[in-house]
Amino acid sequence: MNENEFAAFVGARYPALVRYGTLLTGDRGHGEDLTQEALVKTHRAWRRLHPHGDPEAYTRQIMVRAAWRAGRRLWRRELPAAAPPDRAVDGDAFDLRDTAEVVLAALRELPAGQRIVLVLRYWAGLSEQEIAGQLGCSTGTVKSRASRALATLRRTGGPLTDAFAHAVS
Amino acid sequence: MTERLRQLLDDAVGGLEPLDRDPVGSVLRRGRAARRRATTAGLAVAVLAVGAITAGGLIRNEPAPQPAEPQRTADPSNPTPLTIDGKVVAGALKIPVPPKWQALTTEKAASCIPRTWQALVMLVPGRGDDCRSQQILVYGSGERSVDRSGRRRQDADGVVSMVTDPPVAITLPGGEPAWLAADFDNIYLKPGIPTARNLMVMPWSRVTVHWLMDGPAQRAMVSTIRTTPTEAGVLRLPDTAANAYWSGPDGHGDLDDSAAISRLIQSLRAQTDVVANADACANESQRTAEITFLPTAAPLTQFHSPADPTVFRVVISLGGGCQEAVSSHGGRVRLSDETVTSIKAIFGLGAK
Repeated sequence: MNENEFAAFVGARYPALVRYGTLLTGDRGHGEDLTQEALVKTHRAWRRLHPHGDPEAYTRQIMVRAAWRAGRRLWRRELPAAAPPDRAVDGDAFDLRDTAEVVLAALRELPAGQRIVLVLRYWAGLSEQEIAGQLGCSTGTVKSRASRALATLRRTGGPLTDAFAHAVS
Repeated sequence: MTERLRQLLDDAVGGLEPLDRDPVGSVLRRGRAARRRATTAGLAVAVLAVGAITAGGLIRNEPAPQPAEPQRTADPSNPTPLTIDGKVVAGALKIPVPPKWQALTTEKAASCIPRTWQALVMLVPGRGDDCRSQQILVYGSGERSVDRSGRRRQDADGVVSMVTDPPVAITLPGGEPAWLAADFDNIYLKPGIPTARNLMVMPWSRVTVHWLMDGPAQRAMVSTIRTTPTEAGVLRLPDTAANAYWSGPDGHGDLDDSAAISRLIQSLRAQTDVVANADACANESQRTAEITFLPTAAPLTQFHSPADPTVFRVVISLGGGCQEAVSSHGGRVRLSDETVTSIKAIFGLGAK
């Protein structure tokens, strides 16, 4: 195996994969963990992925499936913020964080299955059929999870409410 | 429309840079560590198999070695919550149904929760048609720990991974210990939103309470609880363990050396200053440390079911004039500062 080619792939695509993982998990730390675990599998499969395969698509697929499995196992145990404040703060908490943190916090509030479908549908731009194929579930499941995710985001409160409500109106 | 959503998600991660400066190295080290664990597990199985065959051949009339106890999931003897005389009763727990609230059984609560996985009682305000705004779920989960928040850490092999933080430990009225995923005032606790942060696990009763309400409301509701604990005594601990982990405010430690793990278990067993239910005082203002004993070699970052009865946890409430250790499987003792120091020293933490 040519370690240099794998290193070049990771060097080039790692930041993008971490961003993908962050959206899938709603958390920067867990997103990077998810990325590294997937890359371990990519490394093992490198001989058949390079140069004639698509290592990035392979890695992303592993990340999605791992996040989906974890979500099914822990459906009600979403991982909290990487560093939640120890104590409540006065005033509107959303005013104290920037948009990125607010969006990630909103994603974390979703059950994992809903979050993953939302990210694949509205960020990765996959069709419902493609998502169903990736996750190994029915398109009905994809539709209902996306619908619930949006409904939850609408009632979560904070500055995202309007944005998400408009987005699906 | 869709584009706006996509833009928000783009904004959320557009400026994000990875924390790990050497991802290639980390990935390769992770791969090597995974292979080592797999090899160790395979060797252990082979050694056990050879041992079993040898013993079976040499020692006649001896019963064959018992196979390892299979990993269980939920214990069928987990308590089933019931509503009796206006109170929800589960294990040692009694929660009075608040005025103008009602208790729904599993069937009636089905429309309010994503999945009915076991018998539960759901408390909801009003007539129950607004079960999304506030809920209290009570169920005999079999769980003896909470899933918690984590932080990133680089271990001796250079692997960067998440480590869990110890839970917040409180004492419920009556003396039953309970572990929370977050403190009551955490701003992330929101009505109607299920997350790990609003879980309360009662390890002795193997009952979980899920508070879908904000922190102050949760605190007020906890104050109405009454408990009748039956598990006080010396700490119940495993006979041995493949790994032991320390997670505390001043660091993390891990042991895989059987001699060191034996010393740790003996040190905890030697603690006989049992805390009576009436004297228990662990509270949310204290920092906590957690010792986790795993029966088979595995990283702590790997998922371990909170209901796995083979995983033992000891949560220590530190300082504050109330230094207590509570075992997930029963038992609660007072610890001196010297004992805490010596336990940390076994993990290679703090002053020796």
